Amino acid sequence: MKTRPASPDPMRRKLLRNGLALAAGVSLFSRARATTIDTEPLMLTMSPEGLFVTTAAVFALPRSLEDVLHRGIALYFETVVTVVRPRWYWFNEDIAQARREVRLAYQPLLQRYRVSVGGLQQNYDSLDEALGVVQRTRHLRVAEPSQLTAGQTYQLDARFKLDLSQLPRPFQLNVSSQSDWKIEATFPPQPFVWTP
Amino acid sequence: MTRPSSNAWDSRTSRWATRMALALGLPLAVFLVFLLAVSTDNTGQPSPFFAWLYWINFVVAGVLLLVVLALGLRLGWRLHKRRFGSRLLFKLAAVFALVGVLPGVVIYTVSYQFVARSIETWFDVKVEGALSAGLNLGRTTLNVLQNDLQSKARNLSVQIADDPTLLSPLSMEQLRQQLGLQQITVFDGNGTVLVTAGGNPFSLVPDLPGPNSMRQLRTMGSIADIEGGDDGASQTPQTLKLRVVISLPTRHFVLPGHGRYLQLIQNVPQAISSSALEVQRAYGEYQERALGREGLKRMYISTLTLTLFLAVFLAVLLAVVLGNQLAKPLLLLADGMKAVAEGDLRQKPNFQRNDELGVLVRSFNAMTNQLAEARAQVQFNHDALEASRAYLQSVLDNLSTGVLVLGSDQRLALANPSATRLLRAPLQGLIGQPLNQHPSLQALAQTIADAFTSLDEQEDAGPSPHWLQQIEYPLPGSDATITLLARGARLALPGQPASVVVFDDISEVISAQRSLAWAEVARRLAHEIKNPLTPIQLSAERLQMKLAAKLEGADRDMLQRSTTTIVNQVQAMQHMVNDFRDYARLPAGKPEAMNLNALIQDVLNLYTSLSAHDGASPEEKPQVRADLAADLPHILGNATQLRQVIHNLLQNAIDAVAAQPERKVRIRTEALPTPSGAALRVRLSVSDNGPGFSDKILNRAFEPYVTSKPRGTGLGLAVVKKIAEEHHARIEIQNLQSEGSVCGARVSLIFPGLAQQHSVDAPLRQA
Repeated sequence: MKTRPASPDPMRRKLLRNGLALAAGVSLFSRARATTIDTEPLMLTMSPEGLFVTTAAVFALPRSLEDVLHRGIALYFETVVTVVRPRWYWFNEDIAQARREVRLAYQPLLQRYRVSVGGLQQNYDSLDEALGVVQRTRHLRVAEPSQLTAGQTYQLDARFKLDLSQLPRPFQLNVSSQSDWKIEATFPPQPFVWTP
Repeated sequence: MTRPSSNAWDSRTSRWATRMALALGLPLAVFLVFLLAVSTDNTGQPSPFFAWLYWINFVVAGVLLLVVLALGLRLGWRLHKRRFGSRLLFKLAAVFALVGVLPGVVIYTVSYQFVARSIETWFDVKVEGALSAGLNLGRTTLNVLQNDLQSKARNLSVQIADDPTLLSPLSMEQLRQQLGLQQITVFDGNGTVLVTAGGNPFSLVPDLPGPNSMRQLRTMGSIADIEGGDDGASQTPQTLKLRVVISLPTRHFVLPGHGRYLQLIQNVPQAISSSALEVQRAYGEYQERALGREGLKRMYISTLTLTLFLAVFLAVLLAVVLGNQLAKPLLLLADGMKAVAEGDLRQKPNFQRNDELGVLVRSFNAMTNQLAEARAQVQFNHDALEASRAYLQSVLDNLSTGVLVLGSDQRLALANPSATRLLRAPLQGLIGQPLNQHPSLQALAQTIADAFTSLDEQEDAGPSPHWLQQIEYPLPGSDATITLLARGARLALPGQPASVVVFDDISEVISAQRSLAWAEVARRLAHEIKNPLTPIQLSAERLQMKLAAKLEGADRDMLQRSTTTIVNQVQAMQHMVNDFRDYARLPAGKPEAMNLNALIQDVLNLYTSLSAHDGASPEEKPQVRADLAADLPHILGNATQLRQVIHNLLQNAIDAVAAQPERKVRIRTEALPTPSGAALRVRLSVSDNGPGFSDKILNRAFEPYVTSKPRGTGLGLAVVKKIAEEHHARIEIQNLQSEGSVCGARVSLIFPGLAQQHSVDAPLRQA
């Protein structure tokens, strides 16, 4: 039996974090003021090519962030999807992970929004269009079939957040205290049985 | 930076650790600050290490702060305790810290202002307006170009509608070159290319709008788009490309979306596009910095502050350490001084340094060494002196001669135990006082003073002027007098007049001299007196014999009485003379081993028979009790002489108790064990319950003609003494004390006992 120590599952971590935060009585405020994100249920596609997932985390960009965006500063959003095998006796085992990074930028010269996913670039005239692309992840390949065992129950965890570490450094010092900049969501974990 | 703070200087290990920590920690801290500054400089690229560096610096600063606090507390505590040297250390540390901190604070203040101000000056409305204007200019230029292209497209579409033959590659190419376009394409609603000219010669498919644009094209009928441009993701500036698509007018009815479209693509001139993109980039950066201004300022200032803290803490730390380094030899010296002042001259640990302080410490140590040697020498001399004094003291103490040392005014400076014993005065208590302070010593003091006065009057009496005098000294507390032979001399001590008086009790010597003199007198008297006595007696007897018959009556009686008196007196005189002769010349008998008990029994038998013969009543008869030891060793003696001794002693005792209501005389013998166990001694003692001896008699009891009896020659004890001396016996005479009063007297003779037969002859020959 493999007992490789893995990162604790996000749900538990979240519970723990929330518990601690509630106990401290600090996190309640910041949560209330943080941008609310609607996380739609994860949509799984199991095919012989692998496990694919489609996510949607819908939110409205706060005005301060929109302002920053319009001043030409690029925002990076990332979606991380992890397949874990729940283990009652130990931390859950990470099976596979997929990460999608989306760059949202505004071109003041052309007054256009540009969304870059990987090497692909797409221009949009309106922010809503661009955000729609940012918020949705379509058909993200999470796991190879070889990584999964048929009939086995797995759990799919997904997170969506604004990646602050890619911001220019002065911002990093600034934004850690501002709740507007905290765009984070954890999707409800989705258990599934691998049946390709 | 794990620098131990408490007791850092107390042990070598911690000192070493301190040095190591400083040697490693200081460069580390400096390096960290340097890294922080460097990473701050490069603002364009977010450094993932910046946060780490920041926090590491923060932690280092915290550790340094703790260390500085600990050192400060320790110093303060020592200062509070008034620990030696802490004030010096404090002053040095304060001076160093001031020197280190003050410039740092000044530089910090200036830098703070500089950073805050200069960051603010970067951002002002004019610059932002200029950048916006530049952006607008670029945008407007592009719009103009786009409009121009759109009008070209419209003209072209009209031409094509007029002349469909233009829809051939050749004429299209001509038109393209004519209009200065990159590409001309005609395609239908399904994206099928009808004719194209220009474009990428290596690409088979002409550049068509994307699906989104196509959708827009179908609904709107035309699109105008500017493509390309740098969004900051790629570094190389791209060229801008104008794309205009309009639908070609047609005379036939076509389904929507199935018409034909004309696409024109024109590159924006390189100068315009790169300038516009440059302006956009600058605008973005400006906005980025303007937005991150607070963060930037905070970053710079926190870096600056952190640097200041690190520098200040290091300065303080260095100040304390350097101060300690500087103060250490001074403290060492001061410690040494204190120790020397307290008399501790042990070798101090040497201080290995080559500067002046090291020299100072070394010369101090040398001085201490010399001092210690000098003191050791003094101690040695003192010890030697003490030893010689102790030796002298012991000689004085064990001397049987009394020694008095007198200072000026006859103040007693020294008196040995023998002096105390001889004079029977508390001389030790009189030290420092004049001798005549004590009542019983006044006469003696006067005599000594007179003697010294007369000595001083004699000029140049001799090489060692001294006086010699025989002093009669009445013993305090009794009526006895002892004879002291005193000898006095001035002590030649510089600066203080002193004199020494040495004296001996010569009573016994005088007594012995007296005995000798008496013996001589007795012998001569006996000889001179005895000769005429016999003729006197014979003459008197012949007178009586011849004249008795011739006389009658009263005359005859008178003759009878007179001759009887003469004869009796002559006989008495003869008896006395015999006694004298006996004393003077005792028969030298031959000593032999004998039992003393048997001799005593003999004498006692004689006494009982004598008493009966005298007809004394049993009540008057003295009770002579004999306690004779059972196993008495034999002694070496002459029976005749010893019999006389016993007889004399018993007679004395019986005489002494004659006046007592209860007459008790006791004779006893006992064997005395000797401590060494060599030879036993035999004691013969005769005691009575009579009135005892007076002190005067007691001292001279053994001299001839000294007697307490109304009748008596005083020769009894003298003879006893003489015999005892011939037997090598010790004689003791003492009064018996009972409850403080005299209740009798005892005379004891202690004979050497005979342990072995072969040693008998030895004392004899000497005798």
